[in-house]
Amino acid sequence: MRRLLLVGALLLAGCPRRQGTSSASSPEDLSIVFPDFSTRQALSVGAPGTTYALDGALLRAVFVAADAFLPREQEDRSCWSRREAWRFRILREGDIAFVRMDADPRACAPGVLLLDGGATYAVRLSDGRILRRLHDGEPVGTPLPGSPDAGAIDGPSDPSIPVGDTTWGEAHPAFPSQWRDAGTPAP
Amino acid sequence: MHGSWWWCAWLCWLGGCASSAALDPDLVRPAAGAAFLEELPGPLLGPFDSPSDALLAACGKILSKPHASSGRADHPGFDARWRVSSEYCAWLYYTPDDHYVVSRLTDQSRVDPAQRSKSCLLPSRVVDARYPPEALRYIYALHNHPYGSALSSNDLRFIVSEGRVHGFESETKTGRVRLSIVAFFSNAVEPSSCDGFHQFIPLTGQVLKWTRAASGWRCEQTGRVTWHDVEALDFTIEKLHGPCLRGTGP
Repeated sequence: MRRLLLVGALLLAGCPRRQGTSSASSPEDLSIVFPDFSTRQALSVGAPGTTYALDGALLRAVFVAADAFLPREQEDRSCWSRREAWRFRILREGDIAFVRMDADPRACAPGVLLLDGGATYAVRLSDGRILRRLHDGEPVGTPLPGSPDAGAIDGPSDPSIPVGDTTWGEAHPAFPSQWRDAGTPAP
Repeated sequence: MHGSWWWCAWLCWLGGCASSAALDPDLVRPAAGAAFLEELPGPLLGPFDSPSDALLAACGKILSKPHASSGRADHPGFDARWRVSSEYCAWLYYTPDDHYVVSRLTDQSRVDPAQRSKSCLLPSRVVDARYPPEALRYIYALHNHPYGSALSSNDLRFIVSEGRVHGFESETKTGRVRLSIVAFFSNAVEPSSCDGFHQFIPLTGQVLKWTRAASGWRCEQTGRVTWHDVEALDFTIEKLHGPCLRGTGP
């Protein structure tokens, strides 16, 4: 019995303690619909010589999201635990700021890069409370027919295309030319 | 507070905490407290003559790993299965003697105290002692999505970053093969099965979804990616919904 308790204690010790603000333990508002950041082009701020203005409430929302997703007390774990290694995208809708956080591939070079691991937080501007979080890979909601998360598609594809084959598509006309010469030459 | 400890204990019982069991020989991961691995050993699977055979073998192998699939969101217990789920990643590469090979897997990831964020840190280099490092060609970056969700922004930026190092196209015995990233998924939890995968090919901009049906594999183009900032890797995705057909363009 004592051995069983010890194993249990070690297992519990290996689990993370609850951290963060009170909003971390609050139930999330599942009615909030997240915008799709991938379909919108973002306007970058920070150009030299240009002045930008930002409401304090919006700034607080970004800080609240960053504090919860990238806690300061864990910054020494790895390069990817530092918020300077991330890019933040913000979309305001009414009293909600949606804060999208993605890894910046340049930040930890030449170290190893992340697959997935990003998140979007919905933060209420009026009180800075996190209303809902959506991490990469989590279901957005009920899958809609035809959405990327939905089940099998209708309509036949070309049966002559082998599974996973990459040779049949035309090169994208806007593929950046400076990338084309990258990497090692073909043998 | 007690509730949270019981919750944690239950997750541990499900397999969410690291155990002292011997590491799966298919996997590599850094020692506790050590830095992330920056190279991945090979081989694990192969040699294969075709990229499709290698890809499907990798799909079955990765999805067979513990907690690689969290199943459908509308099934009971999804939240708990999501929290304990894991991503595994690997490279599928082409060797100088014209074979396709799958590297060993890793599940190294960024720690999330809440266990909601899933990630896999895929080293840029494969080391296969049979060949000089510069002789390997990188074909597919492989990983799983436990819920089967679409490729993430980090996935897309990852493969472009790797393409800038390894090249976006490789000459093989079957023609010029484009670099791509793949995320496998299973519709079932235990036993999981290779039910499909999402794919992005940077050179064509194609975002594809492959699904296995009774009649065979089907391919849908779900999007097309356009890059707007070649340094910050800012992009947009045009959503599409149509079958994969030769001659229809990206």
